[in-house]
Amino acid sequence: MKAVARQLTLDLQSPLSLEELESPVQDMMLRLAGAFSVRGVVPGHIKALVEEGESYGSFSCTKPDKVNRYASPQTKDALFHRPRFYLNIVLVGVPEEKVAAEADASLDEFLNSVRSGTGSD
Amino acid sequence: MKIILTGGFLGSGKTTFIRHLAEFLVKQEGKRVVIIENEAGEVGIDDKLLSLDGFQVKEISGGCICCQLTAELTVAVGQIMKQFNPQWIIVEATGLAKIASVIDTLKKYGKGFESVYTIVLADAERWQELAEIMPDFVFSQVAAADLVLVNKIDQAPAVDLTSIISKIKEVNPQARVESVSALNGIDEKLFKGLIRDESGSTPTNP
Repeated sequence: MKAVARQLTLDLQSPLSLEELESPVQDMMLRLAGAFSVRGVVPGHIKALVEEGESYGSFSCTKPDKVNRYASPQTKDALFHRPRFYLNIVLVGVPEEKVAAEADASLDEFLNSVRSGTGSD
Repeated sequence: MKIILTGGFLGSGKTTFIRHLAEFLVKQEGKRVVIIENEAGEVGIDDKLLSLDGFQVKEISGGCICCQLTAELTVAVGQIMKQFNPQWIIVEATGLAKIASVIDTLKKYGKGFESVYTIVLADAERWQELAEIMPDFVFSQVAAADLVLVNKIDQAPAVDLTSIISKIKEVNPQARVESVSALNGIDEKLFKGLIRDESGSTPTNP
């Protein structure tokens, strides 16, 4: 069982707080969770991390209607300029290619919504 | 040096729990702690999170320490002992690890540590569904534990916690079973009890 993982730098057109990033991150994760849920649960995990310096927000989704968030104390008043973004998905019983394709489509949508001129690496 | 092995299905809250446990051991008990993070993919998130929180983390990625990376685990334990000489190593297995196999590897091939204590997190919010989708796997994880933490109880108000605990005790009558909400913090009493229990866990051959 392999994880589908993506990492990139978000080259944001204007700085955003974690609260402003939260909604598009959640939308992306919920889209993925909705696509792959079984009996109302995610058969694995969908995780994301946004970090820049000491500020970070982590997100975890295991149900198709909910994303849990955890933020570092330093993140409270921080603005993200060029944060690193990580996405990690491990699902049981779903072909990796299918997960990768949905992950990339969701990621494109996410990048459009945060108007990031990013390039993946 | 003692090892706490942490297992449980993907997304059950292992990293969140470890963050609290490591913080307790480092800040309250003044212990030296190193965390071994086993990530299923090449790009991990959990190791970065724990590093950002200031903990010493050794990553083992690209496979599972229960099967493909057994040698990497024992080598990592040895290296950590020489380099950091910690009092505790916390191992976070991948959510798909066969926990009994990891314990077996550590006890057969690991050197230099006193004991292994195993904690498995069970996700209260998804317990019923996961137990239906993959019963053998979910129950095998619980069966290998010294302590089972039924996690996310704050997010699963409608679930029958009593029946979950009852099933876990049926699968593993020897294990202690507690219910927690790791996201909202863990009562120190649980960690103190854990350390007390750990003193009675199975010793290895250092």
